[in-house]
Amino acid sequence: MTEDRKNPARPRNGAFGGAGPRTERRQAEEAILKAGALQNAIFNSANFSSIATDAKGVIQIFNVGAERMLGYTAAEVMNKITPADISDPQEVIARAEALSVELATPISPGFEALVFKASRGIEDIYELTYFRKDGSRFPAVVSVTALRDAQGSIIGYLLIGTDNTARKLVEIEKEKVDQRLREANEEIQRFAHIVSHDLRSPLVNIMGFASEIDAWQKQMFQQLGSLRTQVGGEQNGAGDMALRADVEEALGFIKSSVAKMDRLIGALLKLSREGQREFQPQSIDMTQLLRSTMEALAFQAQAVDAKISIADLPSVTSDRLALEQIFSNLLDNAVKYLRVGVPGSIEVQATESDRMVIYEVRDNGRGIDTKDRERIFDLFRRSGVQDRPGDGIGLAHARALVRRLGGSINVESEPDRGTVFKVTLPKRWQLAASEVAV
Amino acid sequence: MTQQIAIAMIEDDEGHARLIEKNLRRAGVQNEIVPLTDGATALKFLFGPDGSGLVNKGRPLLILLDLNLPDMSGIDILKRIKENDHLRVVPVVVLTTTDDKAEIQRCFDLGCNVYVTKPVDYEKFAHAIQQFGLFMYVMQVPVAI
Repeated sequence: MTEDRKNPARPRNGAFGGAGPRTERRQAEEAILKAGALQNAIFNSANFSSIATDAKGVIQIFNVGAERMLGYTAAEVMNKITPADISDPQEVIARAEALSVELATPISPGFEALVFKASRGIEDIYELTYFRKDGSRFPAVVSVTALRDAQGSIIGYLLIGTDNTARKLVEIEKEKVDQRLREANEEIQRFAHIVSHDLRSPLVNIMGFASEIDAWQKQMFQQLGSLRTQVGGEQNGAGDMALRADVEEALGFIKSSVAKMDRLIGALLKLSREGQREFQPQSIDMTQLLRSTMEALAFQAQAVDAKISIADLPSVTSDRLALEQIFSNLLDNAVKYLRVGVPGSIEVQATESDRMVIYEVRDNGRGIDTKDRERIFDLFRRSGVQDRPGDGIGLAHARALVRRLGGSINVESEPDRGTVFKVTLPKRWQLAASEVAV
Repeated sequence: MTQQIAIAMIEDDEGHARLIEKNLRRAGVQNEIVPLTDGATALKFLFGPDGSGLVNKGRPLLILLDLNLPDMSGIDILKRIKENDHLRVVPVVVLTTTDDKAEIQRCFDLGCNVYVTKPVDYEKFAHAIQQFGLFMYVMQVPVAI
């Protein structure tokens, strides 16, 4: 193999490589031309290498593009070598092995490996490295077609190749960018994780000592009271009571703020852990998933007189836990932000296109002000009257998950009429390069 | 647990150390508490100047260990204790703000004996430490060998 490459002008022997007597070859070439499968236009193209061979693989036609890409003149290769002689021998061997397994029949590592599929009438396009006359190499995409005569017997093969260098470079560049993104992403995850823990540590002290002070102030005012009684004063004088109320109010603010900060840090930590979790794509019955989510909310829904209806929804291949979190958040919000005195109606339906499904969660609730429609997806941001418990985490989390799943989330809303959240998801989610954990 | 047992408290945050001590005392724990405020000081106390751990031979000891130390990870200290011939029998109680499951698993893999999370909620914090203090009453602690 290697020798053949070094000396490509030497004819190959064997079933596919053998060159027959001169007249046979001429006949084969004429037959190819007569078959009308080859067009002059194609053969004059400088951008495609078109190589036609006889049935055994010996090159019969070598167009302008092939000459330009490979550095040989037509005369140097015609009737002399097969395309396997100018292909990367390792790749030819690998291809022969792979095809032998795939098609369960022994395929020899030579020209046969390049055209076997085409010879069986299977459409075949593959990537391959070609060697130029000067020994340099380039990646090509090759499309192979069997050429047949009027009786349907194979009289040769046509290999049309394009130089794949530019695309390969783009791929390499993309891989580099992906790698950088991956690293940046991991850095952020680690950062969030560490910060979350280190931010929590001082809170233990603030909360701890505020609670200690609270216990002490109670004791102090008790002692102050009994001292006052001893000197004949009033035990719980108005001045003392006011002072004690001030101290307790201050401590109350400190404690509630610490508790809030702890919740926010907890949310950050949860988000950072979620970001690190690897998605497990599986086929998901969305009607079922939404129904279970609805059942989990049945109590809350009943409490606010809300009806939830789930239409038949298209299934997707995606991450189950992520979808549960996204839709339980949207349904939870829909139940939470209804209008007082108006029976709630929440509907989930979907529309689908070729590759995407749009799930809609529609409610007749209080709606979202125009100015808040982007803000609600930001972490710790909320909209409207703040009369419901919450920290502004749910939608930020939902959006992060939807994006990781290769989708998008939008909102349409009319204040005092209702809101529609639209979640667009790919029907089949696959582990993108940027998602692969390293 | 007898009163001769010393508690080595490896805790960089003085506030935390104070709150832990207060609540142990409230639970009636009278034992000596040795405050060790960073990794290097802790290693010196535990392993001695020669680094062998012989310095604590025959001493009943219990270690409270915070994982987030300024100069080294508490995990490394735990690993060194459990790899040391003299100290490996000493009970180590990890007492930290981290409640990460992987971290907890790792600590037990390395031979930690008890893992307690410090909650921000002070009632829970005080309760956890006091419960632990009560637990110490009924605990039998071996001497370092």
